[in-house]
Amino acid sequence: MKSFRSIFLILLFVGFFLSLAPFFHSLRLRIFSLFFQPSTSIQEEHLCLQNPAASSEIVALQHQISALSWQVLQLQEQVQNLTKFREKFSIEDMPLVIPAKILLRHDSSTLRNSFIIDRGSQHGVKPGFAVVYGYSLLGRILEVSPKTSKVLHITDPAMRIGIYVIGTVEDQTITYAEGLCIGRNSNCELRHIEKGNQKWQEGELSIVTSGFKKQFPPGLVVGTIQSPYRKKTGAELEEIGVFWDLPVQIADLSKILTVLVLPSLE
Amino acid sequence: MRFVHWHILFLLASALLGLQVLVVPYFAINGARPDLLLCLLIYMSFQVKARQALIAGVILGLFKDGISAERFGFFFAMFNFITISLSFLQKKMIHDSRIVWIITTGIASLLVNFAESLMMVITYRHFIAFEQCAGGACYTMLISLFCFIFFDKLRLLEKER
Repeated sequence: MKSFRSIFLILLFVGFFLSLAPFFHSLRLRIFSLFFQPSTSIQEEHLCLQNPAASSEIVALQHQISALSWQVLQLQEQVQNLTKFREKFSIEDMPLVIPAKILLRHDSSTLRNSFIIDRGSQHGVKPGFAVVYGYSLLGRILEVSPKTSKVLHITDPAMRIGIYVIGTVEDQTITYAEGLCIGRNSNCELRHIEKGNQKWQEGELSIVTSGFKKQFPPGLVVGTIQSPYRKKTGAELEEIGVFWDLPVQIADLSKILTVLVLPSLE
Repeated sequence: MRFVHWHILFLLASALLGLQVLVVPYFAINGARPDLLLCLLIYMSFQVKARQALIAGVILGLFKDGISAERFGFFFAMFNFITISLSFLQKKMIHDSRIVWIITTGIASLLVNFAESLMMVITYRHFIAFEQCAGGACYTMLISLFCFIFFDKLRLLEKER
């Protein structure tokens, strides 16, 4: 029993020190990147065909076609992604963006939400950088290894984003409120949105980053909300309390293949 | 008490981690997701020797730590804590009782989730709502119940043969 207790104590100490050491944080991503090598170029794949060990040239060609089709699909999405981003942010505003592919979309923990991308410190990615799709915010870089990075998704409970609620009335953009968007594991929620005296327009409203504390570039879309004012059999819903807590509809990560990493404003 | 075949454990742990990361998120109910690796750990804690269960805890914990946003070593420490606690309690429990196994899975899942929310408070000063912790624990219990029914059916089939 004594040896058993000593094993327990050693394991607890080891676990404690592992959780403190930043080296191990990057080590796990390094191990992960071993399994996901960056995609090979066309020339490298061409060299594979000359290998006599290849069972059949036809099979190799078929594999090459499917690999290239997948690459084309990803590149098409990347171009679309970049075009959409550049529509809103010019090269003068944001000169450097790092295109990346999503390697893994989900987290092994039941309460956390993160995903892994194929760009790391070798490509200039640093912790704290924003990750976007088009001009929709997806998260921020949490850990970096030379070839891969872990991104904290906006639905992670650790995420707190300073936002503005905006709407458009007769070609005029109106800022309705300023508040905080927090991760709720499955979705995002707006908190501490003051009701105020100004009546909100009916329908869909956009949530954009405010650039509070220079955490994220201002103007990135977090999601949309339905206006809290809805007509209920002619009469408006009763206002109770001082603040609104509203669910936010965000971009679906499962349909996204590529993302853009934006450098920090600082 | 049975013995562990380590290569089977590695394969099973890899398969469950794959399921946990690639399949389970699509079956989440209001954000609540079951913890498959924890189900396996509790099952092993009841079925194999305490020291073997401890090593299984180390392996499963490190597997889970590998692709989590949580601090590295968190699941390693938690899984070992659960295995050690169960080995102390094992003598007082009825080993083959299905209800004990399912309830233990629920309590262990709740414990891990609470520890995770505590880590969140320490690291980010943010709270995780109780319903999220409890939801995950209930889902894990439900999965362990299905596993039991599945294993019982398998055993019955084996006996019939």
